[in-house]
Amino acid sequence: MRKAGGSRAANAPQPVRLSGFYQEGNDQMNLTSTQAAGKHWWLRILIGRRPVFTLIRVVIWVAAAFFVFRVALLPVRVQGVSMTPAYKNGGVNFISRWSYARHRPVRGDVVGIRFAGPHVMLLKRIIALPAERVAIRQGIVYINDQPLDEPYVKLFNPSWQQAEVTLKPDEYYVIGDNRGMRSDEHTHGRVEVQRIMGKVLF
Amino acid sequence: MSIILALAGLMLVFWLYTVLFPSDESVIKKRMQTMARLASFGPGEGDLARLANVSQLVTFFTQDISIRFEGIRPELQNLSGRDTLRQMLLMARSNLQRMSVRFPDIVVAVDPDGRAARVSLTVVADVNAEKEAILQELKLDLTRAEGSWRVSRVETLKALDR
Repeated sequence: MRKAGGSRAANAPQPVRLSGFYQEGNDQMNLTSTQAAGKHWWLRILIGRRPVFTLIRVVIWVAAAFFVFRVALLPVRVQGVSMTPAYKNGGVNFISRWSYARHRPVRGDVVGIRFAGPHVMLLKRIIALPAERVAIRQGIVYINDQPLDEPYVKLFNPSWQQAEVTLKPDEYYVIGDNRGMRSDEHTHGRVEVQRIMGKVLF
Repeated sequence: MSIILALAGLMLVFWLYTVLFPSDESVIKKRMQTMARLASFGPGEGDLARLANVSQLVTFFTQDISIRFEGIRPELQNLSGRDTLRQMLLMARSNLQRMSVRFPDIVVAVDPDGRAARVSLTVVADVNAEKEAILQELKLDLTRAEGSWRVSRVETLKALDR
């Protein structure tokens, strides 16, 4: 039994259209796909076998990168020597914006302090907490009249002096690790908690 | 394909619209960047170029510009008037070899009536061959005067206070 219209011509191999090439017969199909793949290998690398999945992957990666590097972590490049030796000039670090979501900054934390926006920050270490009294005498930091142990300070200059100040409930005192500089060349002082962008991770 | 083309066309139209009819915020940001460029100078700046650049820079300020600096010499803490500003800028430029000024963060808030605006920005200035750049946050008041946005008041803000 044959179907209506069945003939030798109908049983002959049907033309196969593959990737823009037009060939006859299944025998030539593999050869054609190899040729196509050879010709468009760069497209295969660029968009993969399934372009839709590739697009979804790209969107997910872009969203993840945006979230990590814009929302959760801020990459910063250190300029200047005020945090030497812990953070060297030209080094790249990350500031975690969620470090203080559950608790307030603590003494010894290295934090990023913003100016008008997120692109320029000061990198400083917290040495005094809200409501504490802080003073610097002959290069030594005193918190509530007690000398502060600062193992991270490797460079020291005894000429540093700072009259005692009492911090407000929303203020911290921040300073750089490099105390070998002249005090007037080194930015340090009280900072409001709203300016603290986050903690430097590593 | 037609949807992609339509979207691309819409984006092109939107981009053209923003170029042809920029918002006040864009105009102000652009003016701030121009100010930063004019405030920068190199070691080879001649007298005429210095005068021309400073003269152009002061046109970005109103005639009665008021400037308040904190943390510098008392006689320089309060300046007012465009002529005083011009003299100060000329003096500063003649005393320095080179200065590169950038405003990396510009935050603009335009009043609802569109006649005044407030700008917060960070100044990053590399002066001479100093390792540490000068960082300063500024608050500026702008008004529409003489046909364009001009700075009427400048005030320094301190990130850290001793």
